[in-house]
Amino acid sequence: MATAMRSLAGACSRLAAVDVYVPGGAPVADGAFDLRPLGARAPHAGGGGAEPGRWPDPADASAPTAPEPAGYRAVLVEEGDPGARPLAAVVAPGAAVLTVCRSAGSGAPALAVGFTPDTAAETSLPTTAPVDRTGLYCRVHPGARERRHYGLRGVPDYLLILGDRRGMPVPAWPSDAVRWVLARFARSYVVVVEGGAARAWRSRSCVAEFEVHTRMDLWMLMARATAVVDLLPGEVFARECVESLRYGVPIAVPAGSAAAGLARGGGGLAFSSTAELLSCAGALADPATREALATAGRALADRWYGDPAGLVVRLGAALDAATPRSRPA
Amino acid sequence: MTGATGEEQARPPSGVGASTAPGRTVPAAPRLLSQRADPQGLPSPVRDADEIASLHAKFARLVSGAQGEVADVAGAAGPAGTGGAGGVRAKVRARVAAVARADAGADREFMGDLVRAVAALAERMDDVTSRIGNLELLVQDVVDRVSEDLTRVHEALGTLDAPRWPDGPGTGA
Repeated sequence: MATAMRSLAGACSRLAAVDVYVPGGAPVADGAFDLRPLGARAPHAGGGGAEPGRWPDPADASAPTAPEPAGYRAVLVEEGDPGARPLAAVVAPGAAVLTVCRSAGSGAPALAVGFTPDTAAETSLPTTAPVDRTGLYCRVHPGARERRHYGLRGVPDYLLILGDRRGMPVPAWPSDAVRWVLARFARSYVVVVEGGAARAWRSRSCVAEFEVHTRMDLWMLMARATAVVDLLPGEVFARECVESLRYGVPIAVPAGSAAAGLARGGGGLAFSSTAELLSCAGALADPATREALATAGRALADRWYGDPAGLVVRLGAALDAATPRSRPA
Repeated sequence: MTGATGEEQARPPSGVGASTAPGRTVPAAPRLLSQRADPQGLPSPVRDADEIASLHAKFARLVSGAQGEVADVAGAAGPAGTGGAGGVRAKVRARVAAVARADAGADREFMGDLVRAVAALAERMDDVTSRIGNLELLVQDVVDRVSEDLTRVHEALGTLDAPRWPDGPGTGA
């Protein structure tokens, strides 16, 4: 979600002045925006800011120490942050409050950054508030296609699996879902990335192991893969799936995840059971199928997540629709 | 890879997973191998190794050099039937050379046996290496086929059809 909010803030800065408020802590310049803290950092939070702080009570925020300036045209808040919306009404009185969400708002005006091709299904959701689909800008490094990761020496074509376990480090032995894939496709090389490490498997045994230090490392692994299976996509816009599609690599993702829309949009396949996961991986091993999905998926991803100018236009239209034109920017 | 033993012991045997639905047993995921099952590539044949080739070359030079030495000694002995002091010296030299030839011949014979033994060992080693390479390929093929057959059987039985990622809100990070 932080990536999505920062991408939207960047696009908004092409339309008007933007302030970024964060819960608690001291003012921080993050390279793009001056973060304006509201409220105190949680007592248990460390000095590094690893743990999020807490929003102040809206009553406290209306005190004379309330942040300046007023006169905001719109406020974007994260979906699932119950403290942000009432606080926005205090910090930016009269401004439109838009929830940044995956595909459909929860009754409030929203900006949907996830891709859902089935608009009919989306409009049938029990929401009474307008939802503007804006997409995001998700950058990738074009040079990742040209370089091969140093850890893949001796590993030819491979299927890349992004694991389904959080945190790091994770146990060296893969999860159950991954094991089924490794067994079913024992003749193929499969690279599993999770917990900051990558392991290449062949014949149900680990043949290479190396660390994934940077985003560039991950991009190189994605760009060279035959396909990407993301077992735990991001809940807002499935960043890794978008990046894979932008490299022209088709995806297989869980049904119901934020990436399922990308798959249904033509960029990949979706599964809901282990058997379907194996079927999807098998289908992606077919070059013709892979090529068709890659072409459609790349066009889709580039349109919704690779066009910063288009994002600014869509965002501007959404903000115009949500806010009266007479208000100052 | 480390930690194989404890992890493997902690897992139930394949196919005896916990039941999550009435009348339905979810099979345990296939276990993985703690050692690499892919062939690592065979080493170059020992017969072609520099050390072996050098041994053969040196022995060949030794043998040819010894034959030249014999010829020299025979030449130094002079024509047969010449008499006088030179004839005695020649006979002594010939006798000494014969004794030396006998010792050198025994050494060369021993070295020849040694070189032939090394060559035989190298050939046998190359043969064993080739067989191990074939066995590695076979093991990999067995692992691959058994793994594929295992999952195909489960797919055919429908034991992997239980919804695991239901079509609902995403739960990812």
